[in-house]
Amino acid sequence: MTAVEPELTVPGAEVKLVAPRRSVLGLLRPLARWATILFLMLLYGFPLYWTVTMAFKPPAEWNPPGTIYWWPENWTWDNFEDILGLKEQEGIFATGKSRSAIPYIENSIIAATGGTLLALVVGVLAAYGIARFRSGGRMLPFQILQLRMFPPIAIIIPLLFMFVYLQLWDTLWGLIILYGAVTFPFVVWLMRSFFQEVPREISDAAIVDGCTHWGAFFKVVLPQVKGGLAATALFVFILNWSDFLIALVMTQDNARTAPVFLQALQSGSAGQEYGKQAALAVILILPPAIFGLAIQKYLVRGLTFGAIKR
Amino acid sequence: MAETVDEQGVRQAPKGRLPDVGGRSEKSVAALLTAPGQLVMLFIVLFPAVLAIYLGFTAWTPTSGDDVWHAYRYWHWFDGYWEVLRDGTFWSAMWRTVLFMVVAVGMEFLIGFGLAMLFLKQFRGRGVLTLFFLLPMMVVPAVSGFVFFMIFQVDGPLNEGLSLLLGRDITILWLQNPSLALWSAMVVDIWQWTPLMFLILLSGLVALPEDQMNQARILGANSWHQFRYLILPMMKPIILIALIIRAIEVFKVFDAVYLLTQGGPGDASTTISVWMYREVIINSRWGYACAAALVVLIMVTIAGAFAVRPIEAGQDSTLEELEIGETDRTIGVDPFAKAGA
Amino acid sequence: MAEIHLQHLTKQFPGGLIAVNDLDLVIPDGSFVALLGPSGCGKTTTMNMISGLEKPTSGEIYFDEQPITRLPPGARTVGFVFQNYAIFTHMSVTENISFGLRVSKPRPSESEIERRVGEIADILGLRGMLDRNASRLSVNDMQKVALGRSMIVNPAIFLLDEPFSNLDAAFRAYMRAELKRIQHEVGQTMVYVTHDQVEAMSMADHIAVMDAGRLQQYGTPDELYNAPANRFVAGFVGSTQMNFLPATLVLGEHGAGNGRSLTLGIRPENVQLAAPDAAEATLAGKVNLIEPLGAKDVIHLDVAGHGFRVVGTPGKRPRVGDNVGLVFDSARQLLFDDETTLAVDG
Repeated sequence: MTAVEPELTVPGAEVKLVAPRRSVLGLLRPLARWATILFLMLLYGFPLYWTVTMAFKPPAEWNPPGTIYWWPENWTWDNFEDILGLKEQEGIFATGKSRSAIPYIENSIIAATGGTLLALVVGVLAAYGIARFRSGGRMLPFQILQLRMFPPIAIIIPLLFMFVYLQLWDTLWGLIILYGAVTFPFVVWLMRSFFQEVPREISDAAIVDGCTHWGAFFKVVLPQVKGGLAATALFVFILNWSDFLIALVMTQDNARTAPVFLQALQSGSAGQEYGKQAALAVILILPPAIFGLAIQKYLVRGLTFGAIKR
Repeated sequence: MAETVDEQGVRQAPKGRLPDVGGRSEKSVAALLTAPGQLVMLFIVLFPAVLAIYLGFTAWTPTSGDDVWHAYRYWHWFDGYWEVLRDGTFWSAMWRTVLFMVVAVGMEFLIGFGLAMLFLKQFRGRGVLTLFFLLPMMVVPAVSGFVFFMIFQVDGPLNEGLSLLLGRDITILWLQNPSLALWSAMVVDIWQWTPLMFLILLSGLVALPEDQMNQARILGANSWHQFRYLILPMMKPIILIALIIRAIEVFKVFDAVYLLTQGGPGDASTTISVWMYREVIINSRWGYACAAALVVLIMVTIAGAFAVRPIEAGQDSTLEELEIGETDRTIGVDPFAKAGA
Repeated sequence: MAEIHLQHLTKQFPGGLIAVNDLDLVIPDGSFVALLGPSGCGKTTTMNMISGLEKPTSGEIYFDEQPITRLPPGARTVGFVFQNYAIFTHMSVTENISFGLRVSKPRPSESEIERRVGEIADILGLRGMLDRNASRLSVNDMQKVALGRSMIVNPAIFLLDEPFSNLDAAFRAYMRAELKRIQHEVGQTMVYVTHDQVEAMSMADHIAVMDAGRLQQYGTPDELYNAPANRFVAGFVGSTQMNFLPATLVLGEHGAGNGRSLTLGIRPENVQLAAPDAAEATLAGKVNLIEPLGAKDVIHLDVAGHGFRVVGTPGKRPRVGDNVGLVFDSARQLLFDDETTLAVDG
């Protein structure tokens, strides 16, 4: 070390204490911040507000020309009763059961749950293989990821033949298989990131103690990641529940899901079924909203393929 | 367990079995674990791919009277591919998709980043408000298409709201005007997916090392300096991942657009997914659609090879951080430990 | 010049925790002062308030008679070295060191910045690694970069938070000497936080001992060692902890405060071992354990049910189980009031 340069020997001689700017700007800042947040809340909250209130409006308030109802003046459950088939239809629009969304909601539940289970079984095993044994080499996870980049329609076109030929078209089994296949990459990527957080020593210790690989996996490793597994399951369920395109192409009526029915209501009625559609929309939003908030801290990880873990 | 204990009481691996633990060689276990997954890949990649390549060389349609096994009767080699490459509607759908991608992802990034910056400092109700802003993300995409279908009606709440604000009657045809329809569709995507951008960027921002920011403040850095020299460079990997993930998803956009405009009016809001859907379901041009699908797949594969890298790097670096953190702790040095006292 | 004056400084966190309680402290210009105390005693919060990172709940901070409590951190001309150094890992060493200049107004010319960085690098011995990526530095070099980054803006006051806790032992001794030398030469006021009393005693001109948000004693290392103000300081300062034994005040029949319960404190190094029945022995005890530390032994005894430590010489080492007599250096024994814990004269 050399001697200290004279320039540095400044024992506080240069202390210049600039008075802080207590200007209007300083006071406006938190105000502007809250104004921005409130503005964005209005912007991002309004579509949901509109949908939920629409579900409680009687037909006269849906979309009357020349006026608008910002708030339901005559609250009603009719739309829900209608869409759930709880009420006999009257008048010229009476079409009986066909208006009820119940069978389609059932289809949605079965297909989404079945697809989720399938994706979990296949995906968890593969994820464990990749995380623990690096099976398939470094590239396999990325091939699986690349699968996600293809527009689903491009994959579905040829699959449509196969399904017609295998008589899986317009069946719930067909949907379950497709949902499982399409969401299994997410399971692989999510579970891989969870498995990587389990120290290898844990399963090694179990094996040294006499477990088989399977025993170690089921008794020791899987309990370690059960939180992650639950989050993955809910996440994949949301994805399957949200599907529209696959069900649109792959089903007709027998296995039609609720989102497709929502679209059918829209195109079949020239937009004159707002309230009923909105009621169905609210029903459709509820499960993913609840599950999504429940696994909120894993959402980022899921949607970024485990690249961002927090 | 099938192990024996020798005279000294030391456990021995059973005879006749390789000393590898767990009963099976690791290789076979690994193969077994990934086998179902690879079967699935085979099912949704290989078979369809073979079929698509085959049909792509034909001009077959289901309305031609022959079933799919006799599609070879319409064999025309690369004619279908040439047609795709020269098809104006294909390229304009492609262009619209890219435009959609750039505008929607760009807006989602700007709003999401701005909002995340506003949420960086702790304030009362931050937790609840964060959840509030996550809601659009949970909405089924088809539903959000329907929601905005209501909002964009000529006498819907958007025009009515604008009329109230501007004090004159606004009757913009958001969905029926060809030059507006695509932009309206973008609004749906921006509304729905800004939350994801917000969430990713916020999680990155709150993880920024606090001491470094404080150090910068003490050294006299103003907000802009902190943003420009610290926040932005430190956030770069996360920003990159967020942009790529969203770009991938937006490229596939279908549900919301289809419910909002069905690609119309005309093909004014037809993105590539909607275009392919129309070719297959509406126009029944199977062979042609297969050729187009393969062209798209090849383009995506090439783009994807580049897109995957930052994600891979993100995974590796988080892994590396973990490992470094552990070794540091064992030698008692943790440069990133929080200051105590 | 740059004298720091803390006046009735109090910090209460939103949860209700009072981290710093009515702190009065004058740190003279050019002095080297340690804030010493166990973790959670409020020393880091005090530093954060001096630097401006936290606003006090009440009280005032003066730099040379000027109130600066409402100034933002960047306007206070303080240098702060964080415990983990807060290196900007995405920048090179040069960019780290020059950061303070590059964000200052007016911004010096590039050649000026380069010259100043060069000076600092020479002082700290960083010349050879200026272009290196800061994330790849050793912890020792990070410490130097952190110092250099603060030095370049010529702060009148230097604040260091546990500056040596992350260094390995050899480099720690070296950096202690270096820091003291630098401080001596540039004459800045330096305040540093530590929980290590050896570090505080060996380096600081003055030590402020804090506990539970309150200042316990402020004085030179000698004062703290020889005349601790209360039982806490007595117990906290000293390499082998002081012995405490219960005592009762006996002043004859009519003395005020007769029978007051006190605690007698005596440092292990002020007690001599003797034969158990020696006439000069104040007390007797039994050897429980012997810690040989090379130059000296620490002998753990049991004295009437109380743990007791004596510093012994290795040549005259008793055996475990021996009964020994204890000879107190009565000039150095201290008394503390049990109610107030304050030191009592006599």
